[in-house]
Amino acid sequence: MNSTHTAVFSGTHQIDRYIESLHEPQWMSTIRRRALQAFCAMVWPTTEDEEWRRSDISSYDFDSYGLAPAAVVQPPQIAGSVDGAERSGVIRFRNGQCSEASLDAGLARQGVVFGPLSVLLDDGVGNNSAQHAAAVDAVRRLLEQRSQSFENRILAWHYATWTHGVVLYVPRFVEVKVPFEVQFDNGADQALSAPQVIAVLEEGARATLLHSVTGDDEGEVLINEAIDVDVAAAAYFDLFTHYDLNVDSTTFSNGRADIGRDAGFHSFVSNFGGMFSKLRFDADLNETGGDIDLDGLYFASRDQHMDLRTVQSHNAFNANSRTFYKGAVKDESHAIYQGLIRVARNASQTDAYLTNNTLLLNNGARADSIPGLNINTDDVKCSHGSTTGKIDPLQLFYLQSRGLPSDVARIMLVQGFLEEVINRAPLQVRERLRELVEQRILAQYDVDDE
Amino acid sequence: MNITINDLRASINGQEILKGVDLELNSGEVHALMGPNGSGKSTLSNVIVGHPAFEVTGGEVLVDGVDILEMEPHERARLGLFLAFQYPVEVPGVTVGRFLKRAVDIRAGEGEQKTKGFIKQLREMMDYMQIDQQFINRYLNEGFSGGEKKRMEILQMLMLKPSFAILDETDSGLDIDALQIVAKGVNRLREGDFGALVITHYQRILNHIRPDYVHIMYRGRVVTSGGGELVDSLEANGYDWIREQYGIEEENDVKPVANG
Repeated sequence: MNSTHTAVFSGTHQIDRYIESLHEPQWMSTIRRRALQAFCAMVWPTTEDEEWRRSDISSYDFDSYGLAPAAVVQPPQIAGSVDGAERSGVIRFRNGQCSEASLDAGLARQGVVFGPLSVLLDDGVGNNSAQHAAAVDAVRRLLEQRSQSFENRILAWHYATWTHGVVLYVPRFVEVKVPFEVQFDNGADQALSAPQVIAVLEEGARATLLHSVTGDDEGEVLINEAIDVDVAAAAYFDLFTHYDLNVDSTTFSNGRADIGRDAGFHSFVSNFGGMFSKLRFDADLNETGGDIDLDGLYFASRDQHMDLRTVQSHNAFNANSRTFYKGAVKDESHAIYQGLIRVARNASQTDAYLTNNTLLLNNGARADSIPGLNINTDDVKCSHGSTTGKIDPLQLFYLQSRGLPSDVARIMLVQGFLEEVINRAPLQVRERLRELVEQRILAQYDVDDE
Repeated sequence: MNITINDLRASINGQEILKGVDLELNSGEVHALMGPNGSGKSTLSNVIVGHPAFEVTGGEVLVDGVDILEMEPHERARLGLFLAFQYPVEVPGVTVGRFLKRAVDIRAGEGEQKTKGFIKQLREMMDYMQIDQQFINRYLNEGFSGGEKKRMEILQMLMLKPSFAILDETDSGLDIDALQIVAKGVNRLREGDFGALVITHYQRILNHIRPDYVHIMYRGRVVTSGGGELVDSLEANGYDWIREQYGIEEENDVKPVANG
């Protein structure tokens, strides 16, 4: 990538030129321009907005983040067999460039589409199959719906400027047992990254996606991500999302899932990284019988600031939702969890729960837990509970009385506390999460170094 | 292991519970400690293993001549002391298997090689204690019934092989089958160099674990000691007999709040 092409990224004119340079289908340009219009009409969120009250972004100079636009890359080989069958397909991006893309050939034959978004949108690739057309159509419908209105300026900015992305499309009644994997990796040579994840599961389809946003140990990166999910009737989707960027970096992520009739969705958000992260996931239960779990694990240390939000929106009769977020805060970090259960007037017989537990590992670390209910009908079962506390001295004594030194016992108790949620993550990632937790507990942080 | 307790005094929340306990215990011996509720039995056991809620206000606890009252709980455990708790705490997220592996490794010592055949040994002990093997992957004490918790305490004791164990009312709340299993666990260790202080309110468990010595605790002191015949006196006369014999000069004391 050539740095002399770096453009000011939040300037209206520059964004417009960026869109021009992309040579995307007309409908995508229209979505980007609609987002740009909204972007121009909005202001950055401030601490006056309830959701942003504890996460102040006023010190950010978003204009200072740039990248080389219109990075047209040769499409990588998409269809090919995945060795070892540990993944149904793998896509990796490094600094916005696709570095690896694979998809199990058998799944490709069944009409599964899994590849870079730019490749899907490029007519020149010459894929004229019916499945390809169906995937494009599904992506188009989803993004057009998403761009009707924008929650805030950061999201509008994302849809105007998204830099790279992936699409997972699973046709009707295709069940994929082995997970797909997507990684957005970032280095210091790229300041801003606006990745997009799109997953569409047609009626009765099943799939698991393991997604991670990672970076080098040093160098400042700004991520502005959106995740858009559509789970059609009787389909099931398991989405694992993992963030682990260095302590100079910033992550904004907004995820949204539409849940169809009798469909199931499990989201697991794992957040370890970044100086500042603001992650939000909305799940909309739009049809009868939807069933979702939103799980979250966070470990904040050093002087990290993490703000996580979930919204479980019940817009239809007889749907279930459970949110379970658990985390630990250490050193001088600050974690905020905001959770909302929203029940519309027509959503009777809703069954919704929300639990948030945070462990404070030392004085100086902070945690805020703000659960909320917005219920507009009778005949519902909704509840929330949140706890913020320190290690139980009686548990500590119990382990010590069996010969475990207090530091060993303490680590075991923190791991145990988080294990309850790690146990709900996809099998393939649990060990990695346990290792990360252990690393972060053991890491020494010297305040004077910062 | 010799444990010598001299004039031990301890309090909780400013209230004195132990008012000068004298007791001598040795490996190779089984002692029973009996007494009415509130006499300080549980407090004594918790103070010996270093419970942070109790404040020692006087006296000493010597293990082979060394005062242990300044030691951390894990250091006391490494000497070979063990307490089977009356009310074991639940530890969510920590499995029985993981916890015991770590505890057994530490008990085996840093420099020595890690415990070989741990799982085999654990399974064997679980069979012996009639604990379902699935408990290896259960979170420690979480959702266990009262009897399962008590058996888990004895399982830990069997795995850690202490030199001296205190069983704090391990018998209470157990049906006769569970009681026999618990007694079996204690008697198994008794074959080696092992001693125990069995704290109980009732003589029932002492039919299964025959004590060499019996001590009666009342209002924060050990008021009398003897052999197995003391149990029979208690059984025949009840604790009123103790109260009449030893309680007169204590009548003006405040009522202890701690349980046991």
